[in-house]
Amino acid sequence: MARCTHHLTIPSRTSQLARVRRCVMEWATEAGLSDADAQALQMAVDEACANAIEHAYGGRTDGRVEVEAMMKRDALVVTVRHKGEPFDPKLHTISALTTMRDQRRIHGYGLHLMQRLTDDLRFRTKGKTSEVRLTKRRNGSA
Amino acid sequence: MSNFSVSFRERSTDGLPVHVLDLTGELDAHTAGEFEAALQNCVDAGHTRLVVHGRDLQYISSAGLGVFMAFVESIREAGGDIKIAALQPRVFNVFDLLGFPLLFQIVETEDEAVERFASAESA
Repeated sequence: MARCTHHLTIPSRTSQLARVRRCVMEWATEAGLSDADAQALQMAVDEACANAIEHAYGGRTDGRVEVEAMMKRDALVVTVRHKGEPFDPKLHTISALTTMRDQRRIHGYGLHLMQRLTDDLRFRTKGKTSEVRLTKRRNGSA
Repeated sequence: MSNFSVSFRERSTDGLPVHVLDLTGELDAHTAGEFEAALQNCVDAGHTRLVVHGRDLQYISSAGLGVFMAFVESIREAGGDIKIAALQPRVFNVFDLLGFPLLFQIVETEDEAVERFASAESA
């Protein structure tokens, strides 16, 4: 049975990202993730929050980003929510990494990192709220 | 408050200058602008043989990687390069996950990175 273990709300400012990373590392360690898995989840959540702040809120600093951690039997699930512009992955083609590198793209690597650093990554929009759910299993291989 | 800083040093190999940027702290979406400004200052000053020294860089996100990507092409077109040295394993892992070692010379020591400019000249 999942239970909400931690909750953090930050203003939509990139200066808050270091705080998010510190919290996620504490939560992951408390949840029993290995150092490598905790660091992977920390980075994936950082990318999700940065996307919310920079793209969903587009530079507005009066938005809010909620970060919630749910402890499950075999995993830690972190959900990042915001009420900025929704991101619908169905409407976006995530370019192949080789293409992005060949074209010297500056943006878009965060999504790849989120995918590679988590065991499960889901996007959902409900009403005005968009969320990204990032799952890291204990002893996961990602 | 920013937990990131960049400082500059000048070295040389084969009588030509190589500029070393020492990165310290956490390079993320908040601090990437400082790194971008540092690289822009180098380019504006005509410095295109650059080594980014990452021994004290504790964290990098995609925003930091994007800064490398934003400058590498123009610096190479100007005859220079950005070489990367002494990354901590955690930071190197991020470059590696995205295949950036295919694009950048990433070496273990600053000396090796500086010497690569000399060997590139003589190649």
